[in-house]
Amino acid sequence: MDAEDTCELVREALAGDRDALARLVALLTPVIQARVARTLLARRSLLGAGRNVRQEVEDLTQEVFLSLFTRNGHVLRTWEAERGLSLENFVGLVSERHVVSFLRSGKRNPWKEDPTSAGDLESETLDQGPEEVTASREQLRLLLDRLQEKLSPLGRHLFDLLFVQELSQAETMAASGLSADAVYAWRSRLRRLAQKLLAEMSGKTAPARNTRKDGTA
Amino acid sequence: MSEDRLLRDLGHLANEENKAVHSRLDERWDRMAAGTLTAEEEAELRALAETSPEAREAHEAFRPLGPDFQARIIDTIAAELTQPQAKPEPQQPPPRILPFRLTTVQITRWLTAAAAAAAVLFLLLRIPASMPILTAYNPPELSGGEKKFRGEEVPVYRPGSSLTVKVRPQKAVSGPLDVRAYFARGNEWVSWEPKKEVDGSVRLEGELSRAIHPGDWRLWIVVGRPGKIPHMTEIQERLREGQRKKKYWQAVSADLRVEEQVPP
Repeated sequence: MDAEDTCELVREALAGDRDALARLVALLTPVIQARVARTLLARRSLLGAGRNVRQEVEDLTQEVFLSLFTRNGHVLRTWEAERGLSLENFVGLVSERHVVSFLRSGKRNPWKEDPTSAGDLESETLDQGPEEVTASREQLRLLLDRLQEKLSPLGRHLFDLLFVQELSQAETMAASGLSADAVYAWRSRLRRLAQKLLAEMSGKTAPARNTRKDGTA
Repeated sequence: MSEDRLLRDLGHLANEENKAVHSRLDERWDRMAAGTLTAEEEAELRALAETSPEAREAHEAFRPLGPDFQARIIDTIAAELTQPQAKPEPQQPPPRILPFRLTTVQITRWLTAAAAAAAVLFLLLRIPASMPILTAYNPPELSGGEKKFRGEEVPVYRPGSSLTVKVRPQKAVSGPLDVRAYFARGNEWVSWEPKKEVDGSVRLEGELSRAIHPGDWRLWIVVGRPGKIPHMTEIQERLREGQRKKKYWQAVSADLRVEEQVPP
């Protein structure tokens, strides 16, 4: 299925065409399930030992679908094929962000059943300055999770291109379809967000847990 | 620590973690969720699941969620999409603009902007309104002629017998429509040119062509916006890919059986 067909399928599903919706759900279920499972298993220690992973994967997959279609599909409507992000990748990033947020937010949060894990994570980050926080790999990991949680799929895509794949400005422009100015603006936004999150982690005030993810969306 | 250094460190960590996860959970697990593993790979992952609690947990996590789960999701989303959306907040009246005396420069700027706006408006008016996306159609209903049923639901016709076909939309359709009809048997496709009435619903009335030889056939009706129905070969290609519906056209079908003409 090419990008044009995928765009059309999304449009038809959002317009309420049940046949298109069924095809879209069939296309995205394995994508969401696999990304949810990967993200969850990569952070297995954050999930309580007695949790049923299969059940969590099923519940989280359903929640991701709902997050895509709720409020007349406003999240799904932000997907733009021309930004170099396939629908599958876009939905994968939404899934990853949802799982990271689930593990941190307290919603069905195993930390509440296992106070030690929660205490470890929070107390370490609240009593140190920025340099000490980043000195620890575990804390850098926490910062990475928070960054991933705050970023929109497009922001996350730009982070991957610029800092994970370490593409040049020109390569990033080609991969994202964005102008030089837009890439520059994203670089600045990412920098500001990372600094803001780092400051939150090193400050005495805990970051808001259930705020809207509008940071750089 | 410099700001870019922080982002670079985060990028390196993300890269390392991606690699670690993918070395532990290779792409076979993704294909397991998609249900596209070979029998051999499936057996490998099942055997792997027996080796440790972690592998067993991964096996459970990636085991396909199945059609029941998908059906539930479809119902939930369909209900969500039919919910009335929240109305936007009523707009505040715009603040009153204080009158001011226009200078020559301001008048010139205003006239330039007005001319530009008029040009844009002129261009917009010349662009036709966008064509409405086609709604979904139900399968064709066949009737007429020497139709008879052989205990099954497949209607039976003879070459030269009359045939009437109705195709109804699932929702009201507005805007102009066009229609094509083809009899298909494997790679053999025969165009059908009946009398057409198209007004949202489609009604076709004609004779079964003598070129339709005895056998099992499928009648394809392609409804679409004028100029948007593709050529027969492209329709065949799309149908082979399993695509029956596009933005501006849709193909629906009904099976029928054609029998030898009874000798006089």
